[in-house]
Amino acid sequence: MKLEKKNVGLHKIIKIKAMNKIILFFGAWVMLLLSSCENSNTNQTIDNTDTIVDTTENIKSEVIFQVPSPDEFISLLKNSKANFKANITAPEKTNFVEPAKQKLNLGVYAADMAYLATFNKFQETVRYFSKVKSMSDQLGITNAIEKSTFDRLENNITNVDSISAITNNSFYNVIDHLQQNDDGLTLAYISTGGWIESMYIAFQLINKFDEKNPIVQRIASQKVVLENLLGMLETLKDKSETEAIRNNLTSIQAIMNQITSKIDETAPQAQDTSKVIIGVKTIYSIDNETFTKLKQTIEKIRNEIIKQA
Amino acid sequence: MKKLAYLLLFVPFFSIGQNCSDFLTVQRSGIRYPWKYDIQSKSAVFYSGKSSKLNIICNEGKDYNISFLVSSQIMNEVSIKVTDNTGKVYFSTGIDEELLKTIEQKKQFMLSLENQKVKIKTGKKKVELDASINNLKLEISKYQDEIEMKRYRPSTSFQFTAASTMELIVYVTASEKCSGKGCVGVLVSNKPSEKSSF
Repeated sequence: MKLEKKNVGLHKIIKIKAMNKIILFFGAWVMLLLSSCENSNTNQTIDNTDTIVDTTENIKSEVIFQVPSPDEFISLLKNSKANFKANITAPEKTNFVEPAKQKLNLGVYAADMAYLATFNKFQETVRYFSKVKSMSDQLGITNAIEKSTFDRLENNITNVDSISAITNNSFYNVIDHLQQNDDGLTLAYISTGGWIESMYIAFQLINKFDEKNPIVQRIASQKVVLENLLGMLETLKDKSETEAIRNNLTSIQAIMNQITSKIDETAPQAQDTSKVIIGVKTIYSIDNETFTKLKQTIEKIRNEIIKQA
Repeated sequence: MKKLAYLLLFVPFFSIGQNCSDFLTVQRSGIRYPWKYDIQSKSAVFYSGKSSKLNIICNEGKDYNISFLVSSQIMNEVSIKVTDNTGKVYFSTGIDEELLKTIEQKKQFMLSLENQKVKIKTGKKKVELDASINNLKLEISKYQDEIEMKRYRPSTSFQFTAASTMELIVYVTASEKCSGKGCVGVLVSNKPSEKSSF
């Protein structure tokens, strides 16, 4: 009996060891399966998340056009001694149904938010931030702007640098999200809306035309940004829905092509030799007629964008 | 059970190894005031022979810092060049295909000179050929040193001030010899330029 009991005990030990091996074997298989699934998912993620990423590895060369965020241009306007003007931003109560309009207006509101933040209009900035957040949600760009950002904004309501940093970072998250998800179309719409609104704001900050006015010079310098915007849209020309905005930007380009530029011979040479300075200081030549035509065209396109359908 | 634990430990690393979309996220968080992240930054996967041309805008009166981040798998096989729209080169790194071509041309020329030298026993012509060959050897050695320098001690960032609002073109090319796949990130940051510069 004792021997039998001992044998049963041994059998149990052998069975447990065998079970352990089976568990280890299956465990290893499950992990391998999981890893291969994860790998294929990751590869898909790579393929889906980057604009310049291949899907078939056939893409050998490509051209990508990027444009700066609206706050870049607006901060330059402030540095050019521009004064704040109230009631020039797009009405934030408007709601848009059509996806193209939603995307364009997300860009418009982001530019307005940057304008208000740059000129330290805290309460208004929070209102426009709320609009940018709700429109991002509407477009399915969830998680790009976290709910906790509101709390951070409210806690820093009087801190000039923080409010700008928080709102700008939120917009950068939206752009990053689109880049990671290879949504070039939405990115192009938002960039176009943002650029048009920044230009509109710049024109509103000029009281009287003077070619030498730094803000006029800043506007003229945007010719190169427009070229990149058109380049960005050119890569999407197979998407017929972009035709309307391409036509609008082409009409602006036709006017901006009348702006000429020359090297500023009077610009003093750089004293700081530790810095690498690239390019040459440029003066833009724009007459009153071209300026007015450009202003009117920008206003017309901008008003069309912000009009509720 | 130890084996299982090892598997659990390493699998996630293998599976996230090729995701380029997050490549800049960590670097972005390292940008410190007064520098600020520029949305023109971009990352992508690169493999043998792939090249990208990234057009970015630099605003007048701003300082820029462009950092290049390359996965270790392809680090020695990626070349980066920054030019303006006239083709003027402001920064370059990695394998310079043009320089490699120049070296090859010079080697061929040196070989032809050496062949000529075989036929000439003495005289002024031989001395001239020797001098030319020695000069070519020096030039080739200098170019090869340049390539080695860039290969083993590559610059990873480029800092400058834009004198006017201009377009810069960042060329990223993975060599045909590149056997693996890896990520390349172009991280752009900027800050207002100190006025004392102008």
